[in-house]
Amino acid sequence: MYLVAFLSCTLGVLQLFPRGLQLSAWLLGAGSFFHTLSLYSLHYRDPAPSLEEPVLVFSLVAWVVSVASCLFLARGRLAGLVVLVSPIAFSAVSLVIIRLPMLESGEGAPHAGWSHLHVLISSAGIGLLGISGLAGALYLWRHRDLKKKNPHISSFAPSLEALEKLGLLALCVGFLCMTFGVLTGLFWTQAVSGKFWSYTEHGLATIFTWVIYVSLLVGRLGMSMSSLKLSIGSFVGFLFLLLTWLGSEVIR
Amino acid sequence: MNLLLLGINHRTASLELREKFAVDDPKPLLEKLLRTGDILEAVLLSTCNRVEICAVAETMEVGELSLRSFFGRSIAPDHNSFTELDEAFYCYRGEEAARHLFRVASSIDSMVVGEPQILGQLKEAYREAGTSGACRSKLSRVYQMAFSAAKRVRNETGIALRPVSVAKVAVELALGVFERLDDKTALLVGAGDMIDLALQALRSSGLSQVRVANRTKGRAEELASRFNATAHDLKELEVLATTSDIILVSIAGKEPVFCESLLRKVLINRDGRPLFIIDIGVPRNVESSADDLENLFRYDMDDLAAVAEHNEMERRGEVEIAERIIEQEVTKFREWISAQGFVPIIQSLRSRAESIRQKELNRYLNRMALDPQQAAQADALTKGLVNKLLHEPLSKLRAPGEDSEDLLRATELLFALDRPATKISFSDPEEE
Repeated sequence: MYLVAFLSCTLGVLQLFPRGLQLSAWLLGAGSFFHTLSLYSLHYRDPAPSLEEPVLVFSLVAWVVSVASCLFLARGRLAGLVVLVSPIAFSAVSLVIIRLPMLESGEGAPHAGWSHLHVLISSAGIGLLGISGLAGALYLWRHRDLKKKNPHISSFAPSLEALEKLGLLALCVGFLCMTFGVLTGLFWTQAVSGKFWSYTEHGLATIFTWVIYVSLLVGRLGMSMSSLKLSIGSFVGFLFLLLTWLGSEVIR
Repeated sequence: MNLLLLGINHRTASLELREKFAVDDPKPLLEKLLRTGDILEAVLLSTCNRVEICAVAETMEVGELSLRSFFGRSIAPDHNSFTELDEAFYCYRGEEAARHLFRVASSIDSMVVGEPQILGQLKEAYREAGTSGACRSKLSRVYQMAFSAAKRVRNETGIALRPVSVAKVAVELALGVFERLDDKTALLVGAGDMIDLALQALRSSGLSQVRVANRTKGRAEELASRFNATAHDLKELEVLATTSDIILVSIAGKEPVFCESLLRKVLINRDGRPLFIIDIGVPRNVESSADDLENLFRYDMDDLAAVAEHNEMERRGEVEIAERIIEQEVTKFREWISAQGFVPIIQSLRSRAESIRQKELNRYLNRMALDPQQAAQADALTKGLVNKLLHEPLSKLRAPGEDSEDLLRATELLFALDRPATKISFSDPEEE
C-alpha cells in the first residue's frame, strides 16, 4: 500500500496521473491501517520481539508519521506530503519484514516497563518532529520557488500557510512527546544503573536537540519568529534528532 | 446513422461574423429546422466562440444542404455575403462529426484549451434540444458519448489543471501562499479593468473581504459598491497594507506606489504574516527591490504572463494524451454504429427462429394429449434449444470485426432473411 501510494503520488506530482495525489492519500490511509494491524500482531509472535530493536523503532516512527499524516491530510490540502511520507513508511515496513526472523526476543528483559514507555513515546516524538522537519523542508522549497517566480516546480506541495500550520502543530505535540521521552529515558537509566543521568553521547545529544526545539518554540510562540526561520529550525532540529537517534544506535 | 455537424468557430470566422450568428433561444429555430423534414434530430450550440448544429439527417447530402440553407436563411437572415459564409463553414459527416463533437466537449477545440465552460454550454444546448423534442434517442446517444469522452479527458489528463488566464494565475499563486482565501483580506489599489478581472477571479475562489483605495475616491466607491467592499483614500495605504493579505495594484503614475521602505515598515507590523502582491500596473507600482524582503511575494505582469505561458505549454502536452482518448471514444462510436447495422438482422433471425419454434411446438401439442405441466416443460425445452443454437452465431454477429459484413451476408443467405431497407438503423439506446 505504501509503495503504491508513493507511485501514485509520484505520478500525480509528474502530472502523468492527475488523480494520483488524491488516490495516494487514501492508499496511505489503507497502508497505515494494515501497518497498525501488523504492529499489533507482533504481540502474538512467539517469542515477541524486543521493542528496543532499531528496525522496530523505525517501524513505530514510520507508523506515527503515516497515521499523523493521514490525520493532517483529512483537514487540509496536504496531499503532496505523501510523496515524502510513503517511501519512509515503505522502507520501515520492508526492513521489519526482512529482519523479523533475526530479531531478539523481548521476553524477560529487565525494566521492560520503562524501556517500552520510553521507546513508544520517543517514537511518537521522532515521528511528529519528523513531520515538522518534512513540512519545514517542503516550506523552504515552496518558498524558494514562489520567490523565484517559478511556482510550477513545487506546485504539488501544499500552500505555505498550510505547511506552516502543520509544521507548528507537529512541532508542539512532537516536542511534548520528546520531553516525556527524555523523562522516561531518565527513569529507565535510573532503573538500570541506579542513577538518573550519565554522560553518554546519546544523553548529551538528546539534551542539545531538546534545547534547539525549546528555542524554536520560544522564538515562535513568544517572539514572533518568522515562518521561514521556523522552517529552517524545524528542518535542522530534525537532522540533529536523527543524528541523536541513529548515532546512538551506531555507537551501541 | 447520417450524423452531420455544420458550423463556424473562432478559427474559421471573425468575431463580427460569429456575432451575427449568435443564437439566444435555440428552441424555435430547432422546431423550424425539424419542420423541413430533412433533419430528424438536432442540437444547436451557440457560444461566443462557435455556432454549430449537430444533426441526424435522412440522407447526408440533403441534410447538409438543408443545414447550410437553414444557417443562412434562418439563423442570420440579414447576412448577405454567402461567399464569406461558405468559406467560414465546416461540415463533418459520420465519424468525423462525432470526433469533432468529442473534441469540442473535451475543450481541445476551444480557444483556451482546457477551459471548463464549454462542457456546461454543450450540456445546456443538449438539454434545450431535449426539452424541445429535437434531440431523441440517436443524437442523445452520441451526446452521451461526447460527455463520457470529456469526462475521461478531464480525469485522465492534466488538461484543466493549470490556469492560463492572468487573473486565474493570480489566484493559483495566492493559493500557493495561503491555505484558503475566504478568511483573507484583499486590498485593491486602483480601479481599472485588470483589477476588476483579477478581483472577479479571486472572489470566485472564495475571497470575502475587499477594500478599494484610489486617488479618486468616487471611482473607488463605485468599484467598492459592485464588490460589496469598502472605499478608502490612498493616504491610508500603509495601514491598509498592514491589515491586508493580498494586494492588487494597478494605478497610473510614474512613481511606484509601494516603495521598498514602505513595504519594510508594513512587514514589520505584520508579525511575520506573508503578504502577496499582484502588481499589474504598467509602469510597475511596486519597487522590484521589494522582492528581497522576507514574507513578501510580488508578481508583476511579466511574471504572471510567464506562469500563464508555462501552463499553456504544459496543457499542449496534455492535448496529445487527450487526442488518444478521443480516438478510443471514436472507436467505441464506430463499434456502436457497426453494431446498430446488425440489430435488424439479429431481430429478424430471432423472430424467424421463434416463429418456427412456436409452429412446431403447436403442431406437437395438438397431436399429443399433454397436461399443462408437460406442455410448459416442452415449451421450456424448445426455448432452451433455440437459445443455445442461436447463442454462438449471435455472439459472433455482435462482435465487431473485419469480417462483419461477410458474416451479415452469410447469415442472410443461410437463414433466408430479408435485409432491411436502410442498412443502418437505430434502436433506442435505452432499450439496449
